[in-house]
Amino acid sequence: MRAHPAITFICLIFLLLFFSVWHISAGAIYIAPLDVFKALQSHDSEHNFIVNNFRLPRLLISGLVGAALAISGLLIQGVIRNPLASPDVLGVTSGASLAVIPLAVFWPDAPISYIPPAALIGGFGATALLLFLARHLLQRPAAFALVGIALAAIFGAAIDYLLSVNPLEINTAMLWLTGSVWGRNWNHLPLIAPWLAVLMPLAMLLAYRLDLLGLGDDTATSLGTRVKKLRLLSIVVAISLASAAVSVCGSIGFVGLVSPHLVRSLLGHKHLLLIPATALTGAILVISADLFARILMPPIELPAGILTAFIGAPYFIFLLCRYKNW
Amino acid sequence: MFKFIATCLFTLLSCNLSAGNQVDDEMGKFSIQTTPKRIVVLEFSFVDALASLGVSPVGVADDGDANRVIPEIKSKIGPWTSVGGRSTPNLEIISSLKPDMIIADMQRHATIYEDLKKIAPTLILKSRGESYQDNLAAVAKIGIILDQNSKMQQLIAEHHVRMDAFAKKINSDKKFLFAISSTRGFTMHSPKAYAGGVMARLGLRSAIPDETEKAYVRTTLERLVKANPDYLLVGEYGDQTAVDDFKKSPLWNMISSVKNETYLETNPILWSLNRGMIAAEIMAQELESVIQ
Amino acid sequence: MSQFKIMSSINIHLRGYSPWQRFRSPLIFIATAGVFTLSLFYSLIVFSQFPLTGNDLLKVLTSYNSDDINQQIIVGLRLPRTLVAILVGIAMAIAGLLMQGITRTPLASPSVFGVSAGAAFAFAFASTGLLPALAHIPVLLITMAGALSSGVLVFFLGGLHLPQVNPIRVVLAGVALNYLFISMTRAAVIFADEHAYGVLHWLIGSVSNTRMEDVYTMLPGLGIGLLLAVLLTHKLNLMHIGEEMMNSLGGNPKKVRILASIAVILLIASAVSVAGPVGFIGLMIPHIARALIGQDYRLLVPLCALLGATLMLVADIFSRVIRFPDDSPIGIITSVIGALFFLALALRQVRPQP
Repeated sequence: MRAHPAITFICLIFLLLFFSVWHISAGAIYIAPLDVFKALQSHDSEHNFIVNNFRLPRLLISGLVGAALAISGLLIQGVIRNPLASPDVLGVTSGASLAVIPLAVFWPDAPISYIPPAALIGGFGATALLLFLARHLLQRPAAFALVGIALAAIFGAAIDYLLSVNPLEINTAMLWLTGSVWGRNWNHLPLIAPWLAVLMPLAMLLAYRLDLLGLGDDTATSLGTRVKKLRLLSIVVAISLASAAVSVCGSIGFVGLVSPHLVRSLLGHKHLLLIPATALTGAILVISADLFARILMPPIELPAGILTAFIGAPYFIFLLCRYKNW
Repeated sequence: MFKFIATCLFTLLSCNLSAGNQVDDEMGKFSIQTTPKRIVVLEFSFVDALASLGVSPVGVADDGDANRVIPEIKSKIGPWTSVGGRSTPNLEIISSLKPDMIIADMQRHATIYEDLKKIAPTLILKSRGESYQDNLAAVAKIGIILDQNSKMQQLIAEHHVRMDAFAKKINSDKKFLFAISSTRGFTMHSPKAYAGGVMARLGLRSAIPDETEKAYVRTTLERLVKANPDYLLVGEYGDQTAVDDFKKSPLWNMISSVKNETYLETNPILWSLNRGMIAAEIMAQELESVIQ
Repeated sequence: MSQFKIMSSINIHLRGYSPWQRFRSPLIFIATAGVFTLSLFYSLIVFSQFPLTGNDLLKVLTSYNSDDINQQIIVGLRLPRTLVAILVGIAMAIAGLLMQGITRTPLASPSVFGVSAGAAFAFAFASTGLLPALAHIPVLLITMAGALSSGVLVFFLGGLHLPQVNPIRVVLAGVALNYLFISMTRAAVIFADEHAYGVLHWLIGSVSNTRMEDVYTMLPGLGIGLLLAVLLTHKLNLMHIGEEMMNSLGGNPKKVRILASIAVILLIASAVSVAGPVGFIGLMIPHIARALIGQDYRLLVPLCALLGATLMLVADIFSRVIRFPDDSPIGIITSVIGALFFLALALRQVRPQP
């Protein structure tokens, strides 16, 4: 028995609001929700500085990054038709990391603003390599994923090599590798928001065709969808979203893997509904992860990536145990 | 805006109408109009510098553990608020302390420089991986910014006098080495590291003089035996660490420091975390007592 | 068909007809053993800051003097390190061979299936001291528990209990678990700021600081695991030809799988508890061995052991030279080679069938 989609959406939006308010008011310094509201309205409020400079941008970035990762995961799972596929698995994340680590290792004086474009280039480079190596495999999604996994392993090995040969920069690099929203501010918002603004509508446009794809290749072709092109386009959209997210926050794991499942179990298989709902779920996941990262042991801040692993992994295992349609 | 007006008012009210102080920091030029009173520091070496001037920081990134500041320094300053770990200091707590200056480390905190600057003028200096000379240069800059240049110069001069006295008393031509031992490895500190620099300042030879590039050298027992220090000081993080495994090997007893019973287990918090003039003098004292 | 005829047809199936095959296997063994001996010799004396020579090695064997520093370096440091590298190589290679045998998945191996990562997490978690009770349990048991739980998870999540095994499903399950365990290991050690480098070294897999005690730690698990592998060779051969054949001969595939899984867990746990999750040995070696001598497990087990040990020795020598005089973790060498190998295998796996 599934609830009506409208009810599901209302619940998701309510959860998002709930965690957003909690996210903004909780932390090393508690700000009552009412004061948050005041701080947003007037500039003279005593909490204005913390709310406007730290918590609000962090909340927005967490939400956007979560949404981007989740949609990316949904598209990849839709194309590859395997519940275990995700941007991390395809090597996008490690490709982006591999582009950033040399920057930190060989050119430590480089401005921090170089990191996001480097990650973006790395993510796209990894994708280009994957598409090249697996160019014959677009019709065989699982095989495609396997090549992605192998690439991810190579990137991972190269990252380990760079880190162990150049130990000094390890702390910064480790923090980035685990994924964290710490120290992100308004300047980081333009690095993620436009991507989402452009690519999410595009994903919605793809939604109907993706539904056809879910019926199997033969059905899709006979219904007139150009399967290969659709797969390619969806993968490019998915990977762009993931690269953008990684370029801002590092690799926050499991969001792209778990959110689509959760939403599918609530809403079925209609992509037009799935895409916005997955975006909401991803946002809720990362926002709550960042929230707990800050409040679990103040004043120490944990990397949010570890929290998403702890929230996401058990749920993921639960899902796998239940999943039957291989 | 509010902050700006407050700063202006403060400037007007304070009778100090000097043009302010200026130094070159790792980000370029740093200048400040008034003498900062509420200072937040994000590395331990800056605590040492402030303590020697008798200035208490309002906030310290002490990894959530106040005992990471050695008691000799702690006793010179008042209590502070912890602002979290050094690698990810908590910006909210820093801003709630309403500091009028922040001192941060180049390596760890360059990523949040913009955020820190919004809270208060931020001085970025070398701390992590700094050498003994780097530290003195940083200390001198802190003196200028706190408008106590002459006092700081005098403190540095006194420090040198005491270090010279130690050097004279110690006066050894033996090979020295300080190393950190943790559960997962053994790391030697080269002359480029702070502890190695202090030893060099005291005129002591390093057991690994060829390591001029890297400050910290992760090592095996084989290299340690090759370095063969006459005096070996080891700071242990934890109860059972790499050095306990080394001790079980017959090769351990072939290191001349162990043979001559001049092996010493020291406090890693003093020797590795708390870099600065106060710490350096305590280190010198410990070295002197080992040699006697 | 009589029992004998079936057996000889199996032999033909496994080894092929040509008389050249008869000479090929011994030649391959002799060549591998030669490379092994050479790398063993080099591993004991090269790339030291001490001027070690073959002469010192000879003296250790003939007139051992425990006060001589060169001899002591060889006996006290080089020997345990070399032995651990050999044992880890054997353990990982045989574990990979067994995993590939029972899952019939060419990509099965300790690192791809996340079993090493599970063992590593258990070890890292125990060493954080969050559960003080764990301090009294032997390391081998802890890593075994980790390897066991991740092994069981991969087994069921990957659908290996089902009649139809989908290799990519297994690999995806393994990769996801691998990822989970690595994040949890990072979480377990993230506060140890000063130790970050050491932790990384260990996560990559390293034999730098090993002692004779580590060899003794490894021996029981390795011994039982190897014994099981040797005892199972015949059954694995039958299984390779087909489970129907095996059933008709009175074999029990389920029993073989369970025994082999126990062997795998023992082997991986003993290797990881000493050297960390050294990557990809278990993936590469069985494939190389199969390419060399075919599918007969009676030959594959010893050849994998020999090749695994040799590869570890060579990788260990390289790990000392790339940043001489500093040591690098051995795992970076095996992972870089192994990951490329993995990609090649994956591409071959998915090559469009004619």
